[in-house]
Amino acid sequence: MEMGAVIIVAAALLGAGLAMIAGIGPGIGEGYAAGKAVEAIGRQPESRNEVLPLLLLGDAVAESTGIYSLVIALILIFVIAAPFMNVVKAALGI
Amino acid sequence: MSGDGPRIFFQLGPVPITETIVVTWIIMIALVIFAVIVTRNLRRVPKGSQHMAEIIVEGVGGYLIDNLMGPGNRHYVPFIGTIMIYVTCSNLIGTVPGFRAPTADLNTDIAIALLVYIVSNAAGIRSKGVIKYVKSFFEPFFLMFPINLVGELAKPVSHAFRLFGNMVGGIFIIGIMFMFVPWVIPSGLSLWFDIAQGMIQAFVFTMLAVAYIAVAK
Repeated sequence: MEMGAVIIVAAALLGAGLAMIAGIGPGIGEGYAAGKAVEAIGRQPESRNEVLPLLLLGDAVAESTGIYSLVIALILIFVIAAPFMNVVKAALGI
Repeated sequence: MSGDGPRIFFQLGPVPITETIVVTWIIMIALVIFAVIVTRNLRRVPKGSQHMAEIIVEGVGGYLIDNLMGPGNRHYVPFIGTIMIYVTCSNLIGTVPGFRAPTADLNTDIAIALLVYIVSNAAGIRSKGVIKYVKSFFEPFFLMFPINLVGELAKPVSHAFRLFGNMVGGIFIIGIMFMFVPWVIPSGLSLWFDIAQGMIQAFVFTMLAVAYIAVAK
């Protein structure tokens, strides 16, 4: 019982950390989009008001995968691992 | 810690009255009072607080609706404007000590996202007609139906989780930082996550709502 709880908590926390690797993707993507937007505004400064909402919209959509991974990490920590936390703490004597 | 979710104040029959609901009531009362004060005596030439209301209406109508939906869609301004004001106030109220932003509770986000989803589909049916609307699920050819269906159902989910993930992520990072450095640094992080991110995410949420309705039309 205790061993099982320890394994579940360890696996869930490791999984949460691994899930957040997905944060790389939105970082690269949004940086690329922002760079292109700066290029566009640099070429045509008067197009600023048209480019800015499109940039934010594109960034928001590109961010989805990162948000999904964050939600999965939160579920792993606070839904899967949290109920076993007391058993693990008792087993480890903390 | 902050991972416990919103506190439950009391039970009203089977419904737990949480912090989210109480803070939402406070925001609702504040917004209703604001709206009543601002529109009490409207004039053709605006004076005093009427400027503020006109800036909000013109900003939503001119900047969001006309830019993303095209002109002639100003009847969406009340709906979109309400979402924008409410989400902005909810995100910003997280800076007040003791208040938890209602948007950091998934129930609020899912509720608004489902509202936008229903409105966007209703707008699609109204502008295209039922047959064309159903047919749009079978494009480009009929085997694409499951993919189109999943794509359509993913819209409200990603819409809600985006706001929820951003707000809750901010609360968690501030909470974890608070355990290491209880002074100075959490307030700086709060400045970024609650105020800057809160306003950006409120704008993005509103803009995505407009974009979903514009795409469905």
